[in-house]
Amino acid sequence: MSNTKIDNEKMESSSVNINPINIEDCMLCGQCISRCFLHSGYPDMNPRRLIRKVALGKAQEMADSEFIWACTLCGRCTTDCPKDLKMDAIIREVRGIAWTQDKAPARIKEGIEKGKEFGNNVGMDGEEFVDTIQWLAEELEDEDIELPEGALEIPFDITDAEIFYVPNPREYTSNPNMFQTYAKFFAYTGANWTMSSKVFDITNWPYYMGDQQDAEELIRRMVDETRNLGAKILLSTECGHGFKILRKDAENWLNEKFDFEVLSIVELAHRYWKQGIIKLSEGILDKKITYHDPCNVGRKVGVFEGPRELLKHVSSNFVEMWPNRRHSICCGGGGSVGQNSDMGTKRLEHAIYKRDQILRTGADVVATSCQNCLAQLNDLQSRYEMPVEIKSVIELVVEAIELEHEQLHED
Amino acid sequence: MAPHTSKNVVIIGSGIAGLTTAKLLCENGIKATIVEKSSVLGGHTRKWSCKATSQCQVCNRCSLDDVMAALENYGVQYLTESELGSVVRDSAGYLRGVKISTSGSEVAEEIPSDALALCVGFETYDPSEKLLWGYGALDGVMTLADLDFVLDQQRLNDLGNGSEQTKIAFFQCVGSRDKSVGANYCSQYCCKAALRSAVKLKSEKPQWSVAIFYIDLQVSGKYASSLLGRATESGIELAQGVPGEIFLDENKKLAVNIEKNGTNAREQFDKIILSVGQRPSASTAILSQITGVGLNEHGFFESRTIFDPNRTCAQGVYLAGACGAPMDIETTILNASAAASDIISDLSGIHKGA
Amino acid sequence: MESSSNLTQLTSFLEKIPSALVLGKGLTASIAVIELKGKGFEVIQLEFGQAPGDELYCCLPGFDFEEYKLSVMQSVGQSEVYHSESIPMIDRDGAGFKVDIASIRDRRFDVLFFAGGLANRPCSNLDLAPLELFGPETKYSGESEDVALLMDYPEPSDSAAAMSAIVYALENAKNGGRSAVILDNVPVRHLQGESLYDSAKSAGVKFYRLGQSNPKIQDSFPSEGGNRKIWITLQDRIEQGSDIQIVCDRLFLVTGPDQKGIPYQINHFLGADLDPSGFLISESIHSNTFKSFSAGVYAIGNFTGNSDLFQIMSQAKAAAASARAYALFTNTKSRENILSISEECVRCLTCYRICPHMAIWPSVSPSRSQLNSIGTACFECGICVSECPRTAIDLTHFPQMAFSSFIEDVKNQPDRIVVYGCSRSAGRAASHISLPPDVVFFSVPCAGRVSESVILETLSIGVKGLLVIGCHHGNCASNNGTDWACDRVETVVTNFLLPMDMQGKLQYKTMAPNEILKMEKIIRQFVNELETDPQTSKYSSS
Ligand SMILES: Cc1cc2nc3c(=O)[nH]c(=O)nc-3n(C[C@H](O)[C@H](O)[C@H](O)COP(=O)(O)OP(=O)(O)OC[C@H]3O[C@@H](n4cnc5c(N)ncnc54)[C@H](O)[C@@H]3O)c2cc1C
Ligand code: SF4
Ligand code: SF4
Ligand code: SF4
Ligand code: SF4
Ligand code: SF4
Ligand code: SF4
Repeated sequence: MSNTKIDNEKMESSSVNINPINIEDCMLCGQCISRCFLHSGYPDMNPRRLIRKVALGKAQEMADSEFIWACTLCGRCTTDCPKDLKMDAIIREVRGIAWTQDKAPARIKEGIEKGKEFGNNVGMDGEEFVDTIQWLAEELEDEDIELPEGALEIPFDITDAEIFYVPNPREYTSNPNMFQTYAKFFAYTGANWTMSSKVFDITNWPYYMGDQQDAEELIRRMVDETRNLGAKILLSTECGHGFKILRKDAENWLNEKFDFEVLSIVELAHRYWKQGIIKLSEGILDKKITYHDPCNVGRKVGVFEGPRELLKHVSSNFVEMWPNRRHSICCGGGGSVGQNSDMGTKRLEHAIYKRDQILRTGADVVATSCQNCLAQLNDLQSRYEMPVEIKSVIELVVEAIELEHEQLHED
Repeated sequence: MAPHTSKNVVIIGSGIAGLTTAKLLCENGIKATIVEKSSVLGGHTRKWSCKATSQCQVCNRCSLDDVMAALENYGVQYLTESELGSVVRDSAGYLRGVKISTSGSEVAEEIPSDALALCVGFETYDPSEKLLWGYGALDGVMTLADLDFVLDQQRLNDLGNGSEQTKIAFFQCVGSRDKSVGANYCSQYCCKAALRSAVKLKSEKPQWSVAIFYIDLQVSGKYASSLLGRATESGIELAQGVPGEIFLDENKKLAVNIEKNGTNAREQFDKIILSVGQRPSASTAILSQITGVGLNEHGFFESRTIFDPNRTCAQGVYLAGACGAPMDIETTILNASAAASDIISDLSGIHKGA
Repeated sequence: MESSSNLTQLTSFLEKIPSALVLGKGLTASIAVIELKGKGFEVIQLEFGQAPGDELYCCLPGFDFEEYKLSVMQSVGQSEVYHSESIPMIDRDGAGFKVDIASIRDRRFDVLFFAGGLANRPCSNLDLAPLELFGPETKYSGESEDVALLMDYPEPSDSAAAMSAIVYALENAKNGGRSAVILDNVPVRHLQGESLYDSAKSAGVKFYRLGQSNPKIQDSFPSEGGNRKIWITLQDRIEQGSDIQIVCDRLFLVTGPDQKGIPYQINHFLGADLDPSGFLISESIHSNTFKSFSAGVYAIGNFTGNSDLFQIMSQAKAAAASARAYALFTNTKSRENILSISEECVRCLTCYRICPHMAIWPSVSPSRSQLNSIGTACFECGICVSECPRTAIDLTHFPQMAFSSFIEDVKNQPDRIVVYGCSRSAGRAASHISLPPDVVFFSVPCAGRVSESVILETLSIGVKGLLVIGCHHGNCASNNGTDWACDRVETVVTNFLLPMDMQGKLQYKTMAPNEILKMEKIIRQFVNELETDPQTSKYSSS
């Protein structure tokens, strides 16, 4: 007999038990093992083993592991799970244990603290934000684009605008081009929109940590601001998890029905195109384009066809990656992995499935509709020197609109 | 043997269930009329192959031939390419006859009938629904039914890659025990069928390697010692856990990521055989409308109680075989014999029947 | 339904009321009695020995076993039941049976049912003191307890028993108890099996998968009083982590019926008709679910390795219907002359011993005992014909003459290749294939009819080759007719052909009735081998 101390009150010797969702339902079928892209990266761990450990009361062992920080919450492993488990939810629960024990990655912790204090994970105050945005817009005006006077002015805190647009902090820090692209999009489509000087971060890092309370708080603020402004559409930028939470979880979390619509800017673009607000000629972009389904936008929310219809229309040659849609392979940078500096470049090593999948298409451009994917794919592109360009769907739409315009003027 | 009574039982479906029911009824002096939708008799069983190695593996395929041969002695009426149109009941609600419509003829023929046995069987699951298994998309991914065809055609070599090192895998519970495809039940036949097929492959091609990926092997009782014993003796690898994705690796071979001996590993295979489950036949819904027999949550016919599996709540209507629940041939024979037994008891009135 | 008219309609053709002898006691026997009575049988039940109760499990939740048993007992009603210390001598009496017990010695039964119960098998490799065997009488008390149920250890458990154990675990968990199920494979029998597993899991029953190493089981008694605790240390096969410890108050071992409890006399009576684990009736498609090879003999329940109540109910129904058909057949058909036994018989009893269908039975009389054929039980396989040392037996529909005239025919067609094929398999398939020109196919009732002398006679006329095709081993409708043929071919090859380097010209192959392409292949290969073997063409009759 081993010398394990036995607590007679307990059936198992280990003591940390969590009961996230339906973890007991797992029938150990093993399907999830094959579908996780971390399979070779963590040879001694896989989704099923993790679930098994948690179910057997060994959640602490997992909370102390690196695997839970490498997992991108992509949910691919449990797509088609025979018992409908949701790996992303389980991992968030386990991360929650680490979080309450103060074992979370430093960079994420910092982001969450800033979020609590400033309402955004980069710690920018409202004034600075408005200045930055306006400066970015002014820069745009210098470009040679023909638009009516004032079309590029950024509306702030306008009540009763149709659309309340919430950006990702990348747009006013590391990747200002993206903001400029969206600003042009609004201008070209003549949208009736506004931004808020108080709520301007679509991201929700507490969500990554299983920190439900703080996650809800961020959503609460966004919802309240939408109501304050009287907007009919709460428009998410191209941000996977931010959009997914608003669309799929927010009503449940807050336990209320929204009287406004939650849309992603890609859905809006698709709608405008269908309505004829945007006119694009078929095949205007002479490029072989493929589409990467962001896990949150695709698998979790179910936005598959909108972006494809747009891309198929503007591109002279659209190709699919295999597998795609619900079974799309994660870019490797989601679920806080992209922001987690502790993970170093592992996210690039783990993403070889994505790399190979892209290379097999022979595409010139990989389009996607999540800025996190965009950043990860760009890093992948340079790390593996892939002969592709990485573009967001809206970037391509704006590019197409401009090309359309140019050609009109040449005639 | 000439029938001894004027009783006639109409049987819908000529699978092993329908034929077995007919055989036992005839042996007991009751006439049977078999109504079959397709143009051939025998149902699914006809399609399966013999799995015998140097010895019979009791797959029960050939019991179909025995039943059919036995039936040749009894003047059973076969109506092929025919379906049940409606049931005829007297004013008291007792079953008196059925109307059968045969393809090509305008009018439905009325046949007197003292009992009606529903034996319409099942449908095989189409695994292309679960995209990541690549059925229909990846060369070399096939179903157990496809394998049966290859075996039946004596074309085993088609499975090999030309070298000695052919690797074959079976994936169990494909389309069974899977809520994500709406089948939260075990199909009951496939563990045994895969084991037999694997043993057959190993016996014909001892140098090939054969693996069965399973969740829980449903082999107990009689077959545990013999079938499982044969499988392990012949060197079949039994691996717990079914891979959820098949892809082509850089050598254009079928590959799966799995866990092996506690560590993640990748394996290549030349052929992967999906053990597809049994689904309720599309006929059950239609016949439920016609006969008033209910369907259970899975879409199979519902019996009167779960403890009375062959009687239904519709007077004079019985069910047998895989249309009531997925089952293998052996169980189907048992189940259909029990159905015939119920019919005999009820018709002779010794037992209080439906 | 107008039962009375139906009754007469359906039973009138049974010239006399059929009768059945049910050997066994307990629930299985009662179920058999009910089903037989429902088919119009007069039933006598014979309880024997100290037979334990049946191990029958209703493996789905929500089933009131006690109530069910009560209803069975009520339906059985008044039955003629006899008791005997051990199993009496059972004898055939024509197509029926007699039993050597004073009060019923003169009764004749059309059919015989073995419907007894067996105890659960004990755990063979464990000295596990704190273990209780999980039986059908193991009922959940209603009080929450910490309980562990160990199954598939060391060999797979009976799935119905295992599922009943899961029901127990579920009920305990629902009552706030802690249940641990330790197993290899989760049993999900029946349409409802998966949802049972689901509900057990969601009620909090913990499932542990047996790993490579055996679980360690120990118990202890706290020094300061209190209940005994059982400690189980194991590794979960899936988790593969550090040891897991389960502490519980009770530990059940779930096994299955113990075939060793089947009385020797019954085994003996059924001859070789046992499955590989020793349960009654073979693992063959001709004798498995309820019907034995012996005409008129049925077995159900634990004796057949079955402990699933649902399945036993079906077995009983099916067996009763089949028994009724058998009684009807034997009472209406006279098949007395299906087989003849001549004066040449020296009563060596070979035929009696080897007949797989119990269709030859000696009648012992002080003056002169003799062997009787039981026409309605006889399959006309001809195994006895082939093995009788005195060639005293012959089949009426397939007499020795048939062989002789076939051989005579072939004699005039030199260089023929002869194929003797069992009518069940090769015979049926032969009509679907076209044979090579010099091949003649001759359908025999059973490969077992191809005797050594037939083989030698055929070879002696100068055929190019002789192929005997039987059903696959284990699939012979007469149990071992095909094995007889195999042995005889081997004997002839070793004794007559091997010394002359001619073994290739006589072969034995097996096939199933549905293996039409296989038959083509077998014959093609045989023909090819004959053609490429220079030895065979030189062979001529001696
Ligand atoms: C790939 C595969 C391999 C298998 N291998 C084995 C094996 O090796 N051993 C084994 O024991 N079991 C095996 N099984 C299971 C076996 O096939 C079933 O147990 C058996 O076929 C059930 O018989 P059945 O008569 O109930 O149904 P079926 O065989 O499905 O017969 C039903 C019949 O009803 C007819 N029918 C349907 N609808 C109507 C209608 N509306 N009107 C009239 N007729 C209708 C059909 O045309 C069919 O002829 C296998 C199953 C699969 C899928
Ligand atoms: S796919 Fe679902 S049921 Fe299967 S092992 Fe993974 S989590 Fe468990
Ligand atoms: S990374 Fe994705 S596939 Fe892997 S465990 Fe996490 S959610 Fe599952
Ligand atoms: S039962 Fe199956 S394996 Fe056995 S002979 Fe018949 S078809 Fe072949
Ligand atoms: S019999 Fe085996 S393979 Fe088939 S569904 Fe059941 S567990 Fe799965
Ligand atoms: S085998 Fe022949 S000799 Fe021997 S008892 Fe039978 S009939 Fe008589
Ligand atoms: S022919 Fe066969 S069944 Fe008939 S008595 Fe002889 S051995 Fe028995």
